[in-house]
Amino acid sequence: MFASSSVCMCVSNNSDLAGKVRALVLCDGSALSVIKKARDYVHVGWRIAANPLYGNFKPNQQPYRTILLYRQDGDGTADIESLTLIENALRVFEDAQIVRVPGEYPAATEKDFRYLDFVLMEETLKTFGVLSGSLSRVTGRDSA
Amino acid sequence: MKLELLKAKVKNVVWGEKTAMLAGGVLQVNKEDLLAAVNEVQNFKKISAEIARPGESVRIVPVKDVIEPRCKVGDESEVFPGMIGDVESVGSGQTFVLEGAAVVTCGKIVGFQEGIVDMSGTGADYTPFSKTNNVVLVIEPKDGIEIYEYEKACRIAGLRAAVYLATAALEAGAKADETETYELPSFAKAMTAHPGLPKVAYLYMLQTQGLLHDTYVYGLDGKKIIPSLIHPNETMDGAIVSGNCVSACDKNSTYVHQNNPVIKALYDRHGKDINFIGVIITNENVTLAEKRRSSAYSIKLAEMLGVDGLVISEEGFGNPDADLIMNCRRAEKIGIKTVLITDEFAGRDGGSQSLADAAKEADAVVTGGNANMMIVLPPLEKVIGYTDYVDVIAGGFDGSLRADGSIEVELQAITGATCELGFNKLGAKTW
Repeated sequence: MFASSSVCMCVSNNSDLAGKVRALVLCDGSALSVIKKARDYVHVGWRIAANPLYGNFKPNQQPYRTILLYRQDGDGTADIESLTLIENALRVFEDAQIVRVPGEYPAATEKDFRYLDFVLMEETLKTFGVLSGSLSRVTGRDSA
Repeated sequence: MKLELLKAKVKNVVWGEKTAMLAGGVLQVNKEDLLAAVNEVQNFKKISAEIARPGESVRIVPVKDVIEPRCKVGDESEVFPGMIGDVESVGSGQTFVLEGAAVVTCGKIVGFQEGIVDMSGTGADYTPFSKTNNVVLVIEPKDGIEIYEYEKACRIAGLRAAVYLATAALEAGAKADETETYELPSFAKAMTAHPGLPKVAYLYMLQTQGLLHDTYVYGLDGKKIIPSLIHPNETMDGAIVSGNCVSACDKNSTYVHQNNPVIKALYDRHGKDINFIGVIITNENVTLAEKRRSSAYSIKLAEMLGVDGLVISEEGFGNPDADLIMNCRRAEKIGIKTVLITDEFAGRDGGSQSLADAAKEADAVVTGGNANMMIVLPPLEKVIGYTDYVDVIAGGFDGSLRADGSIEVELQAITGATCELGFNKLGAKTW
């Protein structure tokens, strides 16, 4: 259970979160690499705050993924709910024929995907007190 | 609460001098008046309107929402409360409906949107909106508008267009071809009515994750609501509005909320083999604590109603599968029987696990179909909207859009194809 004494960590490959989210661990590579890194943390006692399969995108569409984790001092064993959810997400991405990697789309589309990744996690980041800024996206394809 | 739907049957839509119902079910629309009723000059660079009829060689893409033209008759309440109408409760009195017509909104909110509505060819077999006479709004924003604002402006424009069409036709003398009446008694009477029949409620799950994944209830962002009771008639007056179109196959457009087949079926069977008690709405948030809160609260409401059975419909896939299964488990644990309505992402061959979560208690499940199924949409003569992002729409992939204009996509890209309220055209046969 999340408490005021909990410590948070946000694992993501969404570079637009830099400077907007505290305790951010940015990784290179696909959403799959984000999920695997988060799983490593779950194995040593971190819990996940939100369902890793947020958003109605599939691995062949959305290159970005953000997973918020938290733990209390003394948490050392894996939380079963977190483990189940992260393994389910891992299965979905490992079974996919195509897993998108950041940088494959045109710049404006990439920016839209990073923005959508942010807004889908925005409420969770707020709730857990790690949001230190906001992202904005305006119309006009030249704005990439 | 009693609601009468006064339905005028629309068999064709044409442009003309005055918006009115003509003989033979022809809805004539004054285009200038329509655009004047919906234009938001501060947000839109350009807004245009086109007609797409069943059987025409027309593709509409990317579709954001579909709305049925409705307006209230003879009282103070307004459809789409909290969105364009006042916040007073709806669901009683009379509502005028242009049945067979629809407003479709189309606009590039972000650079990878779906859904596709084909009015003829293979794709038309999979979307219910190939059978409606569509007035399509194509909305281009001014540069520099916040994406959230643009999405909201598109949503409001569609609702206004729907109200304009119904109101103008009614004021011009349109008459109903038939009247449908929907009425449920108060809880006090419902609890003692139909002794011997099982009491059944409907748990109506609403997608609520963020931009392009949102649903609104009386104008409120569904993410922020606590599960609540709603009278089924309120849904028919637009109390629930869609802001939701990513992976269009299983997103409930506003039209589907206005015409929810689960509610209609429960009404049809009320007093025959079930006692339909009421509807509980709940959300599908991202944060795990919010999921648990909404699930616990909605099943508590079902328990307070003392129902024997609960029909639970999901919206979307992946993350909401967890909400669906959690709701099922909690209900079954306290002795409430459940029937789940979902769709499947079972791979292109249908051989993979269908849902991202499962439970042994989920032993009565209805499916809207496999959204991963591949289809090829033939080239059509006219495109309303834009195809430049078809390669990256949900369900599409590199090479989806072929040189001849045909599109190879998963069903996921087709608006309403695997609707989890059953407002779709897929079924199954056994041999």
